[in-house]
Amino acid sequence: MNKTKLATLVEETLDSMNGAQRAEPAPYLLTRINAKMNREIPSAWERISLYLSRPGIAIVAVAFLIILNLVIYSFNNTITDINLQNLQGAADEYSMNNSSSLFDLENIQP
Amino acid sequence: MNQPELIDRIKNGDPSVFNDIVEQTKKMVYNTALSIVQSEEDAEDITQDVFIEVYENLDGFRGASQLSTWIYRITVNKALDLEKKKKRQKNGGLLKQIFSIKPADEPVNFNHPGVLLDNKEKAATLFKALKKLPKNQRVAFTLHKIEGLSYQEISEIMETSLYAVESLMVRAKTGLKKLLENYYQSQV
Repeated sequence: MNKTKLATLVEETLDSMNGAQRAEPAPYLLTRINAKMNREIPSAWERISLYLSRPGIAIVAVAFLIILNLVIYSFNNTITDINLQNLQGAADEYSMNNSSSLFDLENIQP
Repeated sequence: MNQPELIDRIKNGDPSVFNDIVEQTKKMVYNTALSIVQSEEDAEDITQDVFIEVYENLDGFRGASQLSTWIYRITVNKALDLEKKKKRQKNGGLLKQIFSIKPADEPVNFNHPGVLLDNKEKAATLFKALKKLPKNQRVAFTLHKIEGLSYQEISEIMETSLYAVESLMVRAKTGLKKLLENYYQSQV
């Protein structure tokens, strides 16, 4: 395509909206506006549930709960280990695990 | 009925003024929205939302600017907001982006219902090119070339200076020329 023809085509395209008529919206616009204005406004709870039911929010919330559970579970395990170690230490110190203790009920020999 | 009369009726609290505003400005609102969003369905929604906002803020309108300027401004903002929302939804899904066959930014063909039959194809090409312009340039070009507004009116709607509008128009025309030249050269 030569330059003059191209320039003419571009100019014609830029002017293609000249003489265009205005489009009209669909009939009964006022009725539709009134209907939209009177549409029931959702309550705060409905808005919250709508927000939470969005896929993005729901996935993030579930992931957060899973991570929170894992953190709490591992934290509890650490505490239990420490407690067991302490109990074991105390039991050893007072010889509670020694079967030759005087107070061992199974040892009936004097 | 002219605009000063409508403004007087608004100030006097005439309850029937809203219906007259809708009747007088519905084509203006619909056409502006249609030229920006390039979808009849979306333009209908925007038109309704614009008039709801006009109704809700009618008491606050003090006539500092022209009524049409105020309504144009609401329309342009609503149209750009909807576009932004649609773009966000379109780009939102990761899976959508990965498996998308069509490039996300490729505009679809739009046929303006008011265009003369001879110009239909060229107008569709123009609208396609318009979609690729930055939004401020697009709004300025649409308001001037399609709505037939003066630079002064556009500067009031866009709340910018007359010089800025002139600059936007020059850049819009240059950009469009380049886009159209590339398009027609690729068609040969």
